[in-house]
Amino acid sequence: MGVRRRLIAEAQLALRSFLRRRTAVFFTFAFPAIIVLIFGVLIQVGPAAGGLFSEPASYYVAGYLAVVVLFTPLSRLGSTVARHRDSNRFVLLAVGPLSRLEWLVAHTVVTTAIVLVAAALLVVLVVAVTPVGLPGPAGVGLIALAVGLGAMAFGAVGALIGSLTRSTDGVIAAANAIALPLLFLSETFIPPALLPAWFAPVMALSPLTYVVRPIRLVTVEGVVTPVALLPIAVVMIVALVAAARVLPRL
Amino acid sequence: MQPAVTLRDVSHHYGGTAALRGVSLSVAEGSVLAVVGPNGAGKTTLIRAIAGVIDPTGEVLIDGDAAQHIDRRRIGILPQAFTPARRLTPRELIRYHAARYDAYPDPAAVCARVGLGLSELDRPFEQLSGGQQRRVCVAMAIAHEPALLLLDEPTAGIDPAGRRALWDELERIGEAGTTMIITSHSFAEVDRLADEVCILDDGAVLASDTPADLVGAVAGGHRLQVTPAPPSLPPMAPDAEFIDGALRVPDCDLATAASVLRWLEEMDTVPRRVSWESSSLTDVYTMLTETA
Repeated sequence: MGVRRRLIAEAQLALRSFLRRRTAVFFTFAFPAIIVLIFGVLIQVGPAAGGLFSEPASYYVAGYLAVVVLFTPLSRLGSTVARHRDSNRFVLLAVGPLSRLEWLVAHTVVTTAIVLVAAALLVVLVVAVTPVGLPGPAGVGLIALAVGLGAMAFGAVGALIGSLTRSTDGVIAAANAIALPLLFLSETFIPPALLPAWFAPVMALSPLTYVVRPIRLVTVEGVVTPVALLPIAVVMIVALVAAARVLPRL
Repeated sequence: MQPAVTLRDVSHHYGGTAALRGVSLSVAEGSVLAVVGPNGAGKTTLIRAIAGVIDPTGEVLIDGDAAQHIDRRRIGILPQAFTPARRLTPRELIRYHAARYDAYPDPAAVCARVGLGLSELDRPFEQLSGGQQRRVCVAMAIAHEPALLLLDEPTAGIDPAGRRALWDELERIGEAGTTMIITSHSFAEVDRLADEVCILDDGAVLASDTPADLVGAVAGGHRLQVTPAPPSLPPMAPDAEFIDGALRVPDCDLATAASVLRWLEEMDTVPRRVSWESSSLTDVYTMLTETA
């Protein structure tokens, strides 16, 4: 009973804090919309486009979602940890009954909910402005699961970054340094066939690849394969445990 | 009666730096201990050791149990330079903090205990004044009714009026039976609140006693101060010293004060200011930390 109440209290606090930071709310939801508009409307992806963006429009949906799954949790959890440390809030955590794992779970759940809302808005936008149709309920469910697992995994990685760097500026720099290469090394926008052969093992090592692949199977081939989510689920568990261990005590 | 808090030979190092060195003290249940000392003396580390946040060597006992293993609900803490979620209101912050301890107090009643009115209850924390913000932090620390309250510089950064108001509230909390350990740089605060004072310097306890006994034992009854300082020290006052351009004679009775003034006259020295006052905790602190 106590654990549930503690988690709810922490999650409510995290959600209220987020919703009252209007700039954060705006950019969390505007950022994916900008990506969709750039790729889906301005660049006009598709076989007629040629070059790097010649795949059908449905191919890029996984890439758009990967942007939300990667950037929002990484920067949100990272900066949350840095802010809590700078404000001496982890001291209360060390003294009170809420454990560091509970704290991390509450903040990861809130971040995942935010990412799921942003992803839903993004899918609606994609369906509205590009020639991509909505998959069936099973496909939508798998996409939601992939986005949720990815958000939790990268949220935990963000918490790790926040714990290991000493300042908020450091968190932002480290998060960008990790996110930008990952975004382009994870089968997101550029088809692997267009990249040098030595890229293949690098792509296989990126956790984001295992968010992108199952989503793409749904959007391009209409195939729902829950087992393809296993790698990102494992990454999520490992990252959460590691982050809970290194969260600051003070 | 068993002390509420007992420290026996407690030491702690940050890397190669000793923050606490063999600290031993005890705090009686329902009393207020003020820990004073220069910056870097180890005050915050002492609070953290009692709170069980760090693992020092030695023994830290809360009501006879090891600090690391007690029920966390018994402790309330206000860390130094603590800021809660800035966009939340005092009502939300108190509810949130208490819920973590499975406690559900009326936020308005908790705020009233620290002198915050209903008009502040639903204003975002970031829109409150510095004094009001610190009171909200104290309200968060007491929301779950802890038996032991640890306050690390509770009135730092607050204006004098806000400071006095918070002292009133802390005094009431202490009178209600809560054991408190407070770190402070303000001797007015210590004079007002503390039953006992612990002077800490370089991680070690220099002295610990009731304020009156400390003043009596270390600084004596009265202090004579002459500004500007004469060219030499008066021979009839062997403890006299020059401090900040003034001559100071600690533990100076009326007869000694009179003979020092006669000596100044004979030396043709005309002081700009002469004071003969009861010794205070400030004198004790100055004497002990300067000697150390």
